[in-house]
Amino acid sequence: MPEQRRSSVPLGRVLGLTLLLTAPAAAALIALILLGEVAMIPAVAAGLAVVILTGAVVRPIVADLLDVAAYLRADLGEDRPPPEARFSEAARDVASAGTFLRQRAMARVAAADARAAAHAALLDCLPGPLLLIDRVRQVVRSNPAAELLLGRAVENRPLASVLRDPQILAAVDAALDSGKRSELQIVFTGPVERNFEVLVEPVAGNAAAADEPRLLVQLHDITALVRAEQMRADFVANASHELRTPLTSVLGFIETLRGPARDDQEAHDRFLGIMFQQSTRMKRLIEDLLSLSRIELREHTPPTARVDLRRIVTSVAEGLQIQAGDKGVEVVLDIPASTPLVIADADELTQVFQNLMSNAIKYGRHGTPVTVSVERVPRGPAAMPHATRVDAVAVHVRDSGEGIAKEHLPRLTERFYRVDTARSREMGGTGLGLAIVKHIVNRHRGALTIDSTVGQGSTFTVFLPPWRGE
Amino acid sequence: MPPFGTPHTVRAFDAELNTLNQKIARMGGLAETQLSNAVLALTTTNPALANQVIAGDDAVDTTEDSVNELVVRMLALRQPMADDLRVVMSSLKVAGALERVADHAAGIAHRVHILKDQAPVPALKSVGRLGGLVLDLLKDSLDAYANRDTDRAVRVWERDEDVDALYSSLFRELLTYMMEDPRNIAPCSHLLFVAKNLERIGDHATTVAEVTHYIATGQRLGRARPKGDTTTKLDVSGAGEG
Repeated sequence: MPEQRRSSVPLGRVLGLTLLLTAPAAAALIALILLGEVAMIPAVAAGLAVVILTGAVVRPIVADLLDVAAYLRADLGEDRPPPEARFSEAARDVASAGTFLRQRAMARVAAADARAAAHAALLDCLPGPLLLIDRVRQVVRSNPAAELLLGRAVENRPLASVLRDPQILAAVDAALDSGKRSELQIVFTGPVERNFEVLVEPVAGNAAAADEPRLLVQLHDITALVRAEQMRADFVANASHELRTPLTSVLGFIETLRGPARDDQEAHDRFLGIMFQQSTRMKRLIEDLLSLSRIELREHTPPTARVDLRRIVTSVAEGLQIQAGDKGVEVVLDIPASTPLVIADADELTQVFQNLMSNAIKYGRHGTPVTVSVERVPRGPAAMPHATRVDAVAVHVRDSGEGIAKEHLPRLTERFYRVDTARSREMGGTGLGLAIVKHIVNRHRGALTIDSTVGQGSTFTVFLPPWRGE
Repeated sequence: MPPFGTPHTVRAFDAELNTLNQKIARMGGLAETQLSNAVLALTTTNPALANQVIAGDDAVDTTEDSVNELVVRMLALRQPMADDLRVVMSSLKVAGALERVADHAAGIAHRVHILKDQAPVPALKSVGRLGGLVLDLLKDSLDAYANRDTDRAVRVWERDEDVDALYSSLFRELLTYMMEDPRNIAPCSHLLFVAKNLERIGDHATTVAEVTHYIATGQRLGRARPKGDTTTKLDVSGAGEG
C-alpha cells in the first residue's frame, strides 16, 4: 500500500496560523512588558519560544488539513485511500465525510452509466441501421446494423465520407439549418440494387453541448416491397396481355362473320375453328390462373395424406398416350415396385406430373423417348427444408429435346416466362405450367431442380418427402 | 478519415482538412448520381430525367470551384508538409476528375434528347451494361478514396481493363449495325459518343484510384496499366455486304 505522501506545507500558511494563535499570548506579554511587570528580554524570548512551539504544533495540523483537501480534490474514479490524519481531529472528521461523499457520488455515477449502457444496448439491438449526427455532420453514434449496411466502422467519421448520396446530404443540411424532418426513397446501387426509405429527423437535446447528437438518420430496407410491387405490376400486365391477344382475334373473327363473311360457308367453318381454339386457350389460361391462386392460398399448410407415386405417374402416362403417339414420342416408366409412399396431395401431384410429362412430350424430339424414373436419395437438395430432406424420393422426367440454355434456367419457373414465345404459344402453352409445379412442390415441402444441356435434352427432378411410419 | 502521422498542432488546419474531405465526398456523391441518372435516362429514354441531369451539372462545377479555393487557401496559410501536402494536392486532382465525370454524364444526357426521336437500336442494352460497369467502378474508387483503401484502389485500377474490353466490343457491335443498314448510322453514331463518354469516365475513376494509392503510400501505381481498348487497331475496310 503506497505511503500516503504528505503534501508539502507552505511556510506562509503555518506562519499565518501560528501568529493568529499566538496573538492573545503575545498581546498579554506585550501588556506585561508595557506595565513593566516583566523584563523585556526574557519576555521577548518567552514570546518567541511560544511562537516557535505553537508553530511546531500547528504545522502537522495544517499538513493534515492540506492532505484532506488534496484527497477531496482527487478524481472520483481514483481509488485513493483517505489520508491518515494523525494530529487533527477536525481533519479526520472532514476526511471521513469526504469518503462518504465520494462513495455516494460514485454510486450515482455508476447507476447513470448503467442506464446509459442499457440505452446503448437497446440502440444496438434495433434491426434498422441508425446514425446519430452532430452539428458538424460527424457520426456520433451508430448501431451494428448500420455498420453492416455501410460495410465499415462509421463512428467519429464525417457523414459525407460514409454516405455520399446527395439527397441524404441535402436532407441533413435542411434538418440542421431549419429543423426540417425528411422522408426519402433512395436506391443503393451495387452488385445487388437495394431500395431504402431514409428518415432524417432532428433530435431534441442539450443545445449547448458541442458534440451532442442533433439528428437521427434511419434507414429502412424496402427492397422486398419495391420488388414485390414491380412483380405484381408485371404480372397484371402480362396476364392482361395474354388474355387480350386471343380475345382480340376472336372479336375480329366475330365481326367478320357478322359482316363481310356472313354468307361464306367455308369462312364460317374455318373461322369458327380458330375461334374455338382461341377460346379454349383463354379458358386454359384462366383455369391455370385460378389453379395457381388456389395453390398459393394453401401453400403454407403441407399435405398429410399417403400417396402411391407409381399409381399417379402410370395414370398420367396413360392419359398422355395419344399426345405422345402424335409426336412419335414414347413414354418409358422406370418405377421400381419398392418405391415408397410419399406425403402428398394426390390431385396436386397429378397436376405436377401432368405438366412436367406433357412439357417433355411437347419439347422432346420425334422418335426419342421420355423417361420417368424414381429413386431414393439420402439427402435432398438444399432448397428442401431440413426436416423433409433426409431419405427423399426423387422423380426424374427426362426428355431428349433441344435443351435449355443456362441463362434461362433460373427464370423458367417465373410466371409467363418463355424461352421462345412463338413456339410456346404454338404448342398451346399458357406460360404458367412450371409456376404451378413450383408452388405445388413448395407446398409439399419438396424441391424442383432443372438440369439441361443444349442439344441433348433436359431433366426435371421433383424431390418429395417420403411417408414415414406404417 | 483515419488520421496518420502526428496530430496537427493547428486545430484550424484539421477543421479545413475535414471540410476538404467532406466537399470531395459530396462531389463524389453528386457525380455518381449524375452518372446513374444519365444512364437510366438513356436506357429508358426519359427526357425529363435527362433535363434533371443537365441542370444538375452546375452544382458540381460550383463545388469544384469551392474545392479549388479551399486548397489555395490551405496551401497559402498552412503550408502543409509531407502527408498533408499529398492529401491537399491530390484533392485538386480528384475534384478535377469528378468534375469531368459529371460533364461526361451531362453529355450523355444531351444525347437522350436526340436519340428519343430516332428508332431504338438493340445496342442500347449493351450501352446500359457498360454504364452499369462504369458506375460500379466509380463507386468503388470513391469508397477506396474515402477510406484510403489501397487494395480496393489497385483492384479498381485493374478493372478498368474490363471497361475498355466492353467498350471495344460495343464499338464493334455499333459498327456492325451501321454497316448493315444506313438508317442506323445516325443513332449509332450518337451511341458511339455515349460509349466514349462512359469509357472516359472509367478512366477518371482510375485516376481517383491512382491518387488514393499515392496518398496512402507515396508511390504511384505503375505506368504499365493493363489496357484493353483495341479500337485503334480495328480494321473496318472490309465492309459492304449488309
